[in-house]
Amino acid sequence: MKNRLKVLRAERGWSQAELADRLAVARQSVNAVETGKFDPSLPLAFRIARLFELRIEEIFEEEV
Amino acid sequence: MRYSKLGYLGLPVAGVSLFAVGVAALSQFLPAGPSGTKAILLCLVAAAAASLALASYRHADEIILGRQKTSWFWGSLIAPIIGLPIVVGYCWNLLPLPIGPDPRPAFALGFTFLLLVQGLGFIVLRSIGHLRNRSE
Repeated sequence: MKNRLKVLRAERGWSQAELADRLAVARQSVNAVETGKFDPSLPLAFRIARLFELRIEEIFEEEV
Repeated sequence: MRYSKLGYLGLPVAGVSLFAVGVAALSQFLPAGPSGTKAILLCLVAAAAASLALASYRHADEIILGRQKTSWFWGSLIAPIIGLPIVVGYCWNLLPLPIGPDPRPAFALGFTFLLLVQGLGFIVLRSIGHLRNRSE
């Protein structure tokens, strides 16, 4: 699963640690999602979408 | 699941500390030598410490939990991989082990070995995962 998390975070000038605080996850977990090593669960994907005020599919994209 | 650094890292430390203090207190205040009371109290201390340490899982996020499970699954496999040839070798008289007529020390040593190697395998895999995922 591809995602735009790193770009969205950079647009807001947040560090991984800041984003992790806002999402209530560990900093390493943000890194794991950004680098595509881990696909978040639906609840976490919704939290991410709410934080960036976007729809889930605007952040995450299925790799074909 | 909401991540809390204090809860996730602090509770296991508190659990280990509780176990160490509990064992030290039992050794200090109970008469020396084995007894049923001491065994029961030791089990209670271990259960209290373990429940405290396990509660840290409530403070981990889903990604950490996934990595913990993977590390434990693969890391702990090292124990039977190492242990099984030793047991088979001993049973088939291929591996001479210094086991006397009293089997209790060997049993205790084997049990401890199993736990230690499982823990070691987990720590190695968890550390590799942690180091590979630390850079921004």
